[in-house]
Amino acid sequence: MEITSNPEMDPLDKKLERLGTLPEQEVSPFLFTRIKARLDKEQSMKIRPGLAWTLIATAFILLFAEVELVWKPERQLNPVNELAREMDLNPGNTLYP
Amino acid sequence: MSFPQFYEKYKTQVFNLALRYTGITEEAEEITQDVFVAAHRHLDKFRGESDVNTWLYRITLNRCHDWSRSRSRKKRSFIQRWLNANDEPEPGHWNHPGAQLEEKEELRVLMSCIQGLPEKQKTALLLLKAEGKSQKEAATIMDISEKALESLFQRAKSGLQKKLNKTKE
Repeated sequence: MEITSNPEMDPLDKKLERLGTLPEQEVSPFLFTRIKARLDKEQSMKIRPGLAWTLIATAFILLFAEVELVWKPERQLNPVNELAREMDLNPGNTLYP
Repeated sequence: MSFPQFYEKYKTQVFNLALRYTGITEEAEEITQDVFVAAHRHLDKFRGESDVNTWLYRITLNRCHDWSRSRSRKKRSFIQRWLNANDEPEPGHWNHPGAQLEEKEELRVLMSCIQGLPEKQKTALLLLKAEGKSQKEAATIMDISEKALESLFQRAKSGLQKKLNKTKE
């Protein structure tokens, strides 16, 4: 059954139908510019998280390289340090007279 | 269809629906902006005219409901809301530029009462009466059966009548 109404019978329907007959209003000519600006801003915001992730990844790689290429070989190549570490001693004051 | 073409085609429909709901030009423009920004993301997903129309009505009304919710949150603090949980909404600033002076107050009270209805009832009422949609179209937009729409509409009308009677007391 289709919802029907008789405005003469029901004052509420009459009021509701008046809402529907309000004249259409023109849209501001500047609205599209504002939408475009918002879209452009959103687009630039999309790049920022990508940049942040690249920086985090670069920092992680640099840290990894520091550990693998500088810190680890230095410890391994220095037998005094290794021995001191195994003996749980401080190489500076204990192994050298 | 390019985005500017899409905007040109649907801007009046979206803006006027939002304006009828909010009654404030600036708010209707904000809602229109939100709708088109969201539509921009979905532009390639639409399949045909009816799909676009349904989606636009749905998203515009959702944004209108969000606006209504945020407005009532701002207006009343938590304690006030808790104390007056069943209070009627205050007549808002509904001021549609197309409404004539002598009917403005009446329509303002009507809209503030409509805005106090549950969301689905409000949507059913606006689609059928203010937007002049057929029962089938409104049911499709709301993604419910025509029977459910009919029941929502009847509940909305009786709820609205009660609210209007209260404002007259």
